[in-house]
Amino acid sequence: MAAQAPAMPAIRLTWWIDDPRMRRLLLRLFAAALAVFIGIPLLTLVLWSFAGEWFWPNLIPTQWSLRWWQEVLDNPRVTNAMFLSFTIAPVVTLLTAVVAIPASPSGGRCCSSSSSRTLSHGSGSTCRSPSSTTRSALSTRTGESSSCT
Amino acid sequence: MAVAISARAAVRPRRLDRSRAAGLVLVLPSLVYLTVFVFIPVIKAFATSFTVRDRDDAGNYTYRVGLDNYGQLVASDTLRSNILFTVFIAISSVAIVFVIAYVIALALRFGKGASARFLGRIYIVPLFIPSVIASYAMITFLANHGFVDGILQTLGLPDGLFPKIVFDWKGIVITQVWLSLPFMTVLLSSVLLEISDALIESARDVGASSWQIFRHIVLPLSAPGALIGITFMFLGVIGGFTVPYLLGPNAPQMLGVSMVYYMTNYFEPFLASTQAVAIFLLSLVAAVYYVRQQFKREVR
Repeated sequence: MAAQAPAMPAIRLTWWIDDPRMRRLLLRLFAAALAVFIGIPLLTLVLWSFAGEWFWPNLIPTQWSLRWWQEVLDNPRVTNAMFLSFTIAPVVTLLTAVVAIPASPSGGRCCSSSSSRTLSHGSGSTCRSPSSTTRSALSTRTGESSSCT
Repeated sequence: MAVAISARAAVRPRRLDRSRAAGLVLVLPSLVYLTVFVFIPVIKAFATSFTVRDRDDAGNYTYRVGLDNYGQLVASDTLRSNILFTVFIAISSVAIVFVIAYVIALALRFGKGASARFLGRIYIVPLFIPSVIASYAMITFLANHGFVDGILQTLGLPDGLFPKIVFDWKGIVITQVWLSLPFMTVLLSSVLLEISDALIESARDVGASSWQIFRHIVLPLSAPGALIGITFMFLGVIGGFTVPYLLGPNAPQMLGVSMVYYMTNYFEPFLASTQAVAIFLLSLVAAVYYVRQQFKREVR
């Protein structure tokens, strides 16, 4: 009887996925790398805004100052621009809502109840509105996206 | 399936004549808006791209209809390399974002513990940063003699060895990755949430390794949703202006930047419109794919 050799466990390239400790370590490294990638660029901007003097190759400013903040806040063109930004943003949001919400498949009502279903049947073109397409993009369940067919 | 669709179509009119009128009224504002601010300008741009401007010896301009602009789009080295550059940037940034976002989404879906929770908090940050600010942040961060360069030289890298990232294609790609990460991750997370735990546990019960579960269950089930995310991001990058304008090289340029230069600096509105149509055609590839994917889903 040919002794069947016990199959050698194949060495897989993906062993580390099944090892909880390795997985935790890699996840931690990944989270740290991502935090650096996302956070540090923003941090450099903050540092620059408080820098009085920062010549290369110093890693942090050699002099700190609020001078640039003062300069920005004293400049009427900048404060006007800020005011304008904070006016335009809510106005645009409001206008977009006024135009887009009635055209969304549920007509502004939430979720796919039977009433929203009849409504979206009533005007076939609403199903092509961007909001509905993103919503069905975000849900792979056929039940939700079919409310639009 | 076809039978089912036609049957449904036959039922439809009887059910709702009143709400059809109501529906039309509700769609009207956005329809009017789209017509005035989207459809008509698009048609005008199309028409402009077929307008050819000739200049006679006296310096007078004459206009005619022709395909010369498109000929120039193909024949001109500058414009051709701009198109290829745009496609290259779009594909590479989408690929990188997809991989990183998929890892985050997997960690959010299956990971437990502090690191996963931490990831869930930080990945969303770029969503709240406007692209102009992100671009300047990346310039101070990655420029030659910037922040990263400074750290590396403190660690012993000789001056001048730091690669040129800002004002190069790498800068555009990195910043687009930074900006698009939250969108892609949100989308992929919601796709992964749809995969039921029961399916994964049963696979594990019959002895599947984590890799096999990922390869044969998670990846195929998330593919349709993931492809939609890829389409959206491709569209965003291909038509992008801010990031390539602030971080891109002088040549080749992405089409968005080149289009603005042709329009405002070179006074060539016709060639600018032709490039706009080129962007539109590139986007059309992605859009057709998206619509087909949606259609498949609705039929199913």
